[in-house]
Amino acid sequence: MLLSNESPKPIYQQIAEGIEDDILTGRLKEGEQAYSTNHIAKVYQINPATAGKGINMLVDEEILFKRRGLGMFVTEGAVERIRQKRKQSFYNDYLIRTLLEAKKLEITPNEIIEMIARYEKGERL
Amino acid sequence: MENAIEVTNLTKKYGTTVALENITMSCTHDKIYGLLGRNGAGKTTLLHLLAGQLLPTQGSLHIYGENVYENSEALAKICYVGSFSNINNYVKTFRVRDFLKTASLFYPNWDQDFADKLIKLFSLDIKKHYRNLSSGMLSMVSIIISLASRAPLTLLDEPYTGLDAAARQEFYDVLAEDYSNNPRTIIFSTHLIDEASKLFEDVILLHQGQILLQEPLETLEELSFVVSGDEETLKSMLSHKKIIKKETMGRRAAYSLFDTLSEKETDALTQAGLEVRSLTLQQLFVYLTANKEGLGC
Repeated sequence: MLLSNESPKPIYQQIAEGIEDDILTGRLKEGEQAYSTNHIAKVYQINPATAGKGINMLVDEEILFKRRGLGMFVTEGAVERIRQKRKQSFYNDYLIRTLLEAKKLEITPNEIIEMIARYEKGERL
Repeated sequence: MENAIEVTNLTKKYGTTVALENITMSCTHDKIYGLLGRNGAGKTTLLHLLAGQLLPTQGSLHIYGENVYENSEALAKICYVGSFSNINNYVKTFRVRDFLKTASLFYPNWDQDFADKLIKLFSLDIKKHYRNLSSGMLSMVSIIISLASRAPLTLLDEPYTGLDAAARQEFYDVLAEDYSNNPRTIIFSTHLIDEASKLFEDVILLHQGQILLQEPLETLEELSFVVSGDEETLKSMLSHKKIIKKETMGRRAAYSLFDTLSEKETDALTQAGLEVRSLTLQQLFVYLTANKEGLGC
């Protein structure tokens, strides 16, 4: 994950999304131990309280859970939970931007659908 | 437990010049505070007062519930390495190791192993005399003393004059790791805001001798945005927001806000073809301190 000062999202949220990405892509597997607050703080040179807030956000959403004395672990079913949540923001975060850009370029919705079909077939534009 | 710092109606004048005017603030245990302000805003004066090196003109100041001025027990809990420019002739004969030795005698929590590790990290030659140290090396000495003192209250006053980018990164690394393992209260004054801001938990902004704001970094992140696009759209959609900076170019404009934007509002702005970004803390700082009306609250 890369942290950006210019992202409209606060750093703790970027941390949470970075961990989610690692769970979605399988870099972190369900049941495995996740990164500790101090480790995140060190690697990204951020305040441990900020890292802690990102982790707590995921604990509240039952994506991570705490094992006393052992640290944070990925919950069983975390992948599905993240997918459901992210689908809701897919429209706002990605689709609208694509459609706005397409409008500027006068690309019609049908042309976009064709592009998707070609992508699915593995063809280039 | 008392707060680490409790300052009430504090004023400091030098002759007729008012350096700090009627400041009230408190700092809790185990937090990193970013102390920001333009040149002459009063940052160093505030740190000198906190370190018991100056007497307030008016008001009160307590560190862990105690007065610090000429109170050696209270002072052992505070680490402030001031500028090397006002040291006396005797100290000017010191080598690096003499500075470190002196500090180790003063601070009860001094961690020699950690000091040795930092000396290695910075490749600092401890046999070097003061007169042969570059400004970057002097900064390394200050940093080593500041961190190895493990003082409950550590004041870092622009700790890295002359340090190159690589050494600064090493310093941030060490600070983040050491603070995680040994939490304490750190007041970190700096002009390199965007480099250091991720380490802050709270931000204190001094402006013309007064506290303009003291907020958690998170709160500021949720209050500072720049929205750009068509000026007419910006005007109509942001009319009720506090705007701290407007830049226009033809029909295009960018408005910087010091105000909240809910997710719903952000979505509406995006759907209207506007681009929403966050202001960096440095940009927010520049706009808020550009003129006093900037805050407008």
